[in-house]
Amino acid sequence: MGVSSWQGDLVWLGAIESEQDAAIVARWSRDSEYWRLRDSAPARPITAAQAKRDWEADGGRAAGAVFLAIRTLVEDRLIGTALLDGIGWPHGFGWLGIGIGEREFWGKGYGTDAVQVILRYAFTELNLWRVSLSVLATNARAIRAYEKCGFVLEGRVRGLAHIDGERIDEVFMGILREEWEQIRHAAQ
Amino acid sequence: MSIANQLFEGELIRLAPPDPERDADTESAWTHDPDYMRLISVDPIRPLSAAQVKKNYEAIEKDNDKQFYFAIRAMADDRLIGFAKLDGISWTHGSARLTMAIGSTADRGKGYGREALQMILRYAFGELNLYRIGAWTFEYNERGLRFLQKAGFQVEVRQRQSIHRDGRRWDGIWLGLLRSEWESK
Repeated sequence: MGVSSWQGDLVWLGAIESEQDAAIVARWSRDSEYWRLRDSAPARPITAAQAKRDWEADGGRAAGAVFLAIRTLVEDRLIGTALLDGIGWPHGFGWLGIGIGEREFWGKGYGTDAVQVILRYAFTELNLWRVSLSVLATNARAIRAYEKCGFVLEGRVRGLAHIDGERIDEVFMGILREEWEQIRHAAQ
Repeated sequence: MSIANQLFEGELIRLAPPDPERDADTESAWTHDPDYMRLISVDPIRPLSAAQVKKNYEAIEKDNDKQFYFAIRAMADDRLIGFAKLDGISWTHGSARLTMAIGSTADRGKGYGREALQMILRYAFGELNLYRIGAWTFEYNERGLRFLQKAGFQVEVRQRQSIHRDGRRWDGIWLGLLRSEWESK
């Protein structure tokens, strides 16, 4: 346990610092492509004050749910956010969400690293049985990253998203604790 | 179909607003049936008093612009036999989630549910103008799965081992019905 369990190879996950971080998240919100990949809510630019209010409104999450800042180990720079919520306690399931707002960090393994940190938290701290996620079928980069982390395709919800006049499927994926443990043992 | 067609009245049942004063006792009785409760929700089941049920109706009333909740009543004697609701609505994407149930075992297998399903689908596609309806259920709800599939719903997602009940794991199953599929039926 020497190293913080919040630390990965490229990033570490920590609390949102609402004063400093809100302005950065507000800047990301101008990037509609980022927003549309991250969330199905209609894209809209938000101010730093609105970002802060959204975080505060999210205070009532279920026990164990976390909303975290993703920061680089090298420069300690905020590059994205990650979320674990929708937890069903008696059953041991949870939902993962992640977004990398800084485009220069896309496709370089930062998101994958952050997902691995979150999975470690989900399986070794919360002791969940499985973690689920959903992603637009067109987001090949994210799907590749999730597969790399061990997520398995569990189905497609047909035409769930309507973006720029096109109907797009939502891909659902999941990973069981035993699958995650096998990957971890194989890596050691 | 003409605009004069009745959306809320069928041959066997009607879709009605919930009526807390009349319905709370009936619904409270349903919540004491674990088999029923385990079919409609993943939350830990618990019996609810009539007063607690009334509070839930108040919450539904407050949420009226976000969900469409109907009591299912028998045309014959107007008693409460179940509910059907559309929630999780995304107007942007034209999607919603359907949950429905017939409360008492004595009222199942009599066509009430089938008619209620057709009526709420007509409401979803013809009044709310949605593009797709999703439904979520569990591997052990074989009857519910057959019921939805017979109406044209397709299994879209199988979430492995999502549910832990009675000492074993069951898959969570997501189904979906597109407007085009409903129209061609």
